[in-house]
Amino acid sequence: MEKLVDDTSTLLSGKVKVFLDGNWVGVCGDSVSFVAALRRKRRRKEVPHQVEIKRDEQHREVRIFSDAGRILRPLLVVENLGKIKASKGGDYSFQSLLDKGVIEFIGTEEEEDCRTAWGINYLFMENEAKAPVKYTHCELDMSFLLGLSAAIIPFANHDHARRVLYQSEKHSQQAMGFNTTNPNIRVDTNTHQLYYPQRPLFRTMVSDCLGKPGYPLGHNGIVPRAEYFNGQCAIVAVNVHLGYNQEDSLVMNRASLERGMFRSEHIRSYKADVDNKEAVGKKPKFEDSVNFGKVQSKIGRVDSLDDDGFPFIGANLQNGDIVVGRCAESGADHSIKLKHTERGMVQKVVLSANDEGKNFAVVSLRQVRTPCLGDKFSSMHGQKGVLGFLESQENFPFTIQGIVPDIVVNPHAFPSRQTPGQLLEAALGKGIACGGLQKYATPFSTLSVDAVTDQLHRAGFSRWGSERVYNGRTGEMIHSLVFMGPTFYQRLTHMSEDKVKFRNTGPVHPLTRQPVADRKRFGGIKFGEMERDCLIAHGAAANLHERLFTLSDSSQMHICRKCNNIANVIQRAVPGGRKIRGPYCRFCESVEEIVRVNVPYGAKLLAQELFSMGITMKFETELG
Amino acid sequence: MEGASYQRFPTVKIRELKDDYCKFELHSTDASLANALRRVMIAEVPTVAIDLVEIEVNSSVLNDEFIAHRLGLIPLTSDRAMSMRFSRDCDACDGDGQCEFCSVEFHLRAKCINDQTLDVTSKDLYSSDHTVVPVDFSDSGSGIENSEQRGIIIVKLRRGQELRLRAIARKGIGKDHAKWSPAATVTFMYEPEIHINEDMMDTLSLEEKQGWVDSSPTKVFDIDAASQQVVVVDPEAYAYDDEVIKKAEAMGKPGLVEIYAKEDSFIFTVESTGAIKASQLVLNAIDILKQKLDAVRLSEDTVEADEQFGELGAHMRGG
Repeated sequence: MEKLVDDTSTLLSGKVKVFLDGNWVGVCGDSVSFVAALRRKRRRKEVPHQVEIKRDEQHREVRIFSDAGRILRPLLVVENLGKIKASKGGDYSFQSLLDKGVIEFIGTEEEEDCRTAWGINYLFMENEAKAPVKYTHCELDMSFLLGLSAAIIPFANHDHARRVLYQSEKHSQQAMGFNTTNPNIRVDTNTHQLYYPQRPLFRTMVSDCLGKPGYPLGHNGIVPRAEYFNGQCAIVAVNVHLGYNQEDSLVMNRASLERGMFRSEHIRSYKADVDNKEAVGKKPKFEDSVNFGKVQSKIGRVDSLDDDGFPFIGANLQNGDIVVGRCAESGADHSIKLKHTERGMVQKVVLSANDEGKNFAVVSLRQVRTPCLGDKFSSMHGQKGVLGFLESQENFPFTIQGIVPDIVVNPHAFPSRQTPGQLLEAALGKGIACGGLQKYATPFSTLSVDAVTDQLHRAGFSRWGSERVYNGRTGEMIHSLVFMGPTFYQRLTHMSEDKVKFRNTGPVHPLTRQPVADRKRFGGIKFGEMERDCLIAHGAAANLHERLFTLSDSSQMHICRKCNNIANVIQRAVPGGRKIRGPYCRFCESVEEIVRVNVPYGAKLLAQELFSMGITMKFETELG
Repeated sequence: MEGASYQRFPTVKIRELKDDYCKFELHSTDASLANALRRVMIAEVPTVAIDLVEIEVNSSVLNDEFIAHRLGLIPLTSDRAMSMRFSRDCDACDGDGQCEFCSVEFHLRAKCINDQTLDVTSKDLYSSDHTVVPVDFSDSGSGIENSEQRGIIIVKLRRGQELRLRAIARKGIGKDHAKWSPAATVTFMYEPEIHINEDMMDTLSLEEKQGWVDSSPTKVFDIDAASQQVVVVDPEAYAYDDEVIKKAEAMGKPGLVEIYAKEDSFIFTVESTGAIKASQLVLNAIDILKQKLDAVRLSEDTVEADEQFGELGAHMRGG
């Protein structure tokens, strides 16, 4: 490479430009040998591992990147694979392989220059001269083309791609687990923690790579890692259950839930800041300075508050209670009140200040929730469902060993979704739980179905994972066999308790006098146009009238029958010196033919607004 | 059918009896009774379990509810449970669960003072009544490791953390909460009756016989080494999984074996949580089943019985 010189005399034609982190630093004549030399240096550690070298033949450029924030992934270097054998002392750690140049990091642009074999066996095809391509690199494992959340799905290659995407993009995000190791010193606005997270029975190549390095492989090849997954292993039966698991709902075993399955803790934090007395800059007005403290509040109960305005640890706060007592010097109340759906026990109170020196306090409320009807669950195969019924243990079908399912899913969830991976997971899980040694369910290098069924057979179970069960209600043997096995299930953050919406009477919008819409404000559920069409189609006119008028914004106003204008209620003087209040038509200057009519307040509002613009609305009335 | 007696005389044959495990046969009765017994054992035999926890100090990593839930699940020895009162209908204390007839008080005090993690276990629970204590598995077998002799772990404490609480245990049944269920496993199976079609079996080669025998996941059949005949070694190992029948069909020999379930004999397996002995669990279940039937019989002659039970009421008077 020649350095770029700042003159016009040097001839650049026919040369290849060299960029370092986007800056043109030089030119070179033969880019192929230049790039090859540079990459060799990188493999010999003369250039850092993380440098990316891209040769762009079309643009006649060589781009070198060394900046932060690029995605790199490790690949085996085919020409250096022989060096593995030469390694003495059996040091096969990732770092030592990287140092020897057996593995190298490839960036997104450099990847385009590589010819990567998907697995080692493709390289052997090359030796037998079957393969049309000459590979430069090789994947460490076939499942490494997936990201973390997809590569821990067992038998992902047996599932429909869309289901794998549902799990890896959505459900893995929403699943509850043990998300942090320092929950006691954190103040997140909303966190969920599963009581008893478990590691799945199966393993994948990527799940083995999870966690801190340095944990040795324990006995029986079980890795003693601190990392837990965000779910639990449940015994899942594929069966119908009294019709309570139709349309993607699940039936769960009440006894299992009472024993702690899928129980979770929910912490919600309320933050409040105050004006700082010693704050730098402009001095706040004495009157408006807000401070923490307990004052008798008009907006909510303050029984659980200490004098400093914070509730004591362990206080049980219900909706409508004050979480943080705050008041201004003037006596104005600035307290924070719990919304009507919120409640909990006080977990902690934190007093602190931010970087600008503003004091704030955080009160965390804790809630323990056992799964209840309407909570959402999902397996690792994009098979989400809501809890439809909690059945007692004795009513479930039981196997000869006395095993009762924790979850019953409907068989209709499988044919159209095309997720046999879940069934394979259950079959494999059953074999592992019974002491089978075939534990890997890595995508693309999964066990054959025969291996799974043989393992089950050795464990003393029916090959295809189905079992003879007895009806829990009658004790009779059920004619068909039921597929049953341990499956990894996740509890998702969507819970019915956070979503219930109901009201009979409640707040109305001040302008339209119609019920408000928001759940937080105890609002109603909109009865929209399509619902209206539905009632019209049924001919349920009285019902419709009630929905849209009586229970919404029913109102009354006065009409003058002589001029068909609105007659307002005013105070006017009558002969005799008295003043009376009542409807009076200002157009006709009379009270003679004024009638009172029922109208929606919305209509009345429109009439009034138009009137203020100088447009009058005429109302023709007749006796109803 | 007038005067026909439906009375049966069920017999029980005990096969195996250990403290927490029991296997017995139940003969000459039907599935309704066997299943009623199973259901009562799971859901209606009373035990004692911690129901109310007052936490004085808890600076452990687990929150109060978590610890309370774990305490509730600890099995307590409940031999007295049948004679105890439910606290909801205890006259002595107006059902507030504070008297000796319906409740047992526990205390727990633990504090970690050194750098070693302290395991708070069920052995740290001190009971006010020596008949109701957390179950102890340490003496039940010799091969149990040392770590399991320390009881059931409730929580682990680090230096400076403390747990102090008072807990009240009450009588209850598994129907109300699973913590009161004394049964770990209760299951039964119909006794199988296996008939091998010997003529058809003789047409098979030894290899085919072996293949057929191996098709059963459990060891039900074997080949007699001397006569090279297929024999049934353990009919009860058969789990009604139809594997051998399917295999016979696949071999082109349908009807090679016929397996029936005897409708009137059952093999029960009962495992207890340790709260009461497995044998006592069965006896208590029978008692409770009797009590339930007595409640039906009490209203036998009344007119209400006809309204309540319809034909069943008339039937009961007749038989």
